[in-house]
Amino acid sequence: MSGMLPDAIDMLSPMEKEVYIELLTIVANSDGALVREEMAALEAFMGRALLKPEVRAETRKKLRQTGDLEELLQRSSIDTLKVALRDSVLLAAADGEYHPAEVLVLERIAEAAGVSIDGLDELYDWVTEGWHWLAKGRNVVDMRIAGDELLTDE
Amino acid sequence: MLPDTLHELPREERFAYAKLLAYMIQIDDEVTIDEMTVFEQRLGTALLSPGQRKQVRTYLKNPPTLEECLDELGETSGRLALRDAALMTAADGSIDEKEQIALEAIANHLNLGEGIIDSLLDWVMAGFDWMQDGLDLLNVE
Repeated sequence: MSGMLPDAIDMLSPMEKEVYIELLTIVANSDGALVREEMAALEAFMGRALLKPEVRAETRKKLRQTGDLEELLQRSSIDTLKVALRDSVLLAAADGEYHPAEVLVLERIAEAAGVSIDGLDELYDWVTEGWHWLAKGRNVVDMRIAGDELLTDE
Repeated sequence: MLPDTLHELPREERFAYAKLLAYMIQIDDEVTIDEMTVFEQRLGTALLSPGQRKQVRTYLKNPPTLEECLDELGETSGRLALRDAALMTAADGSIDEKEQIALEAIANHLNLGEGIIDSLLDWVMAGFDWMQDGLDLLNVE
């Protein structure tokens, strides 16, 4: 069995990880409403990145502030932007829909990362595949939720 | 990984879920970085309070018994914990005998049928492929 990891997030420096999570907070904030699903996703990304507790605490404080996207983009390496873009698409999808304000931010991050609109569309498709995969996991443990029948083709 | 239903459960059930993952991660006397990243990710998704997180981390050094963990799990939290325990224990590339036995014990407790662990591991492998596809899309290693 081959392992899932390491993920690209593990290759980022501690400073790059801070930029990465700041980008995610901007996406989370962009539609003006931080719902519980997005909060859970953001906490998961902080956990996955093994961020220090003080960085996580600082990030939670920033959730109610409007960050400076352009300044962050200038500080980001291409690899950081790409990983942040991938996880931002996941984060934006967490509440079940992409808000127009989120899409604008995603498109700006994609542009800065050198990812085309077609590339971004492929990421949206990839996230949809992730929803299917999750639904299949619930199906395996016999714990379906409303809508899973549409995702598992059963 | 996207959040699904874990964050909607009552706080006590989310804590019980995390407690079981803490039990599972140390069961083979070796906590790998791969397992730890999944553990921390799932802990984040559980939206535990700072006090609960601290308590869960103490279980890494002073683990509860499996019976204690199972007693506190509800039907939904138990099934999610089994699923994510499989995901976490497989993250380092292998499931050892102790992990396999514990996963089967959890499945038995939940009255899930034979072959469930193999089905879960197939699902985990599909998830690894999905993650790799995401990296491939962005041309990052």
